[in-house]
Amino acid sequence: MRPLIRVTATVLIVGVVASPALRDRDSFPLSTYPVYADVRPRTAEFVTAVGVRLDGSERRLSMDVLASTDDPLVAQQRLADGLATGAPALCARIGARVPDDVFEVLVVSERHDIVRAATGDPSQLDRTIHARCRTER
Amino acid sequence: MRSLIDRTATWLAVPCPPERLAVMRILTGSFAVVYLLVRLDAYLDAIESREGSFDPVGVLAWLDAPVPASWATALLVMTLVLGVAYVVGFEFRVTGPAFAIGLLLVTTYRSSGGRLLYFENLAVLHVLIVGFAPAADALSVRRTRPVSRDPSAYGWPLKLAALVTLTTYVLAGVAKLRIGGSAWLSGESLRNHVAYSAARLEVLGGTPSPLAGLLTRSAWFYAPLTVMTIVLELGAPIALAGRRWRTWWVAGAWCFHAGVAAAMFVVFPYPLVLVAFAPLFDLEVMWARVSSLVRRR
Repeated sequence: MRPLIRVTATVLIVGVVASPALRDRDSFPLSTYPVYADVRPRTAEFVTAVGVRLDGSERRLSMDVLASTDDPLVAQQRLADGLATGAPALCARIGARVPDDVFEVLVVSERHDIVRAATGDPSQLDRTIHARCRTER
Repeated sequence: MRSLIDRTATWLAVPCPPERLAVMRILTGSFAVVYLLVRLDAYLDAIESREGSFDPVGVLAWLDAPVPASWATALLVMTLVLGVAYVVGFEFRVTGPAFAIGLLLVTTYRSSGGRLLYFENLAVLHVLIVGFAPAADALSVRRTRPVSRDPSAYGWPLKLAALVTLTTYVLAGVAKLRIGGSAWLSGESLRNHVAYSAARLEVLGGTPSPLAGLLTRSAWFYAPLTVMTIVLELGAPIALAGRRWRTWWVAGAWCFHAGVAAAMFVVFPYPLVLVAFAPLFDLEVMWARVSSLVRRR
């Protein structure tokens, strides 16, 4: 390959890889790589669902039950999408997958102090219930 | 001007034996095939699931709706088969580009579920470079073309892959300064990112890393860590300054990814298994050492 072609091709390819930063447009596989780049505040809101047992106690549900995945990022996205398109339908989908000891599902948004959550201290600041549904148990 | 172009072209295409590029082919192909197999459930789930939204990106941005699951599954299986051919160098003139395109389509489709994940970008870019290069002139089951007489033909794709690796790190550093700015450098934001990962796992029924709690309590630790992260990312081109700089930079980048995996349970497998950094090394020498060790056993 001639030197000029090689240099031009290199500049073009590296330029294409760097171009998302110039256009401020994230995509795949060309990306701005904004991983952990935002300033994360100490509180955060999470969409999730909890299971309620017959005695009224609550339990966390696994990602597989919540969103049929083992990836927290995918689970988070699917729960947010599910809430946006209809909390009752999301509740029913989760309800069909819950373990035997759960008789009711609550689809909720919870706001947490994430530093306290990470250190194992009580962290929930508030909770909004979007939907509740009974399971067929 | 002419001499600048010639000097740059010489730097870009340092002559090297065909084995070096061939080892890069084996490493990138093996990584991609094993990764697809390990994450097969996630890929099949992305194909079949109706749980999430469909937000096509990249080369699939033109799609209006998900393709039939049978088509996507067939492409995934075909890509895996092509991946094996890519690794062993079988009919590489065809299988190299075909695997690269297949991998691009399969990974782009998975990334079209409404959330970009960043785990696969660099691996796909490397396979695209190696797949279109003469990477099967050595260490292949069947040579599809005579060995090139110009050894720089093997050096250029490797230098290009190295430049792409380093560019992605610089981009990550630029993103932190552009999005987070000086507030990101205080360290509090990075501590909150570690805490956020733990809290998210907690509310999604997972088990956070035990290190997350320990590190979140040690707030003093984050200010120097953020500065080190930015220096490592923006300073990535230093890896081209010589073997010693390269080794230190790769060690630093690997430790960064290992730390993220240990504290946040967020695993970037491509750099963690070091394939992301492979084009910076004399791979044929390592290959010869490993082969000789294996033969002795």
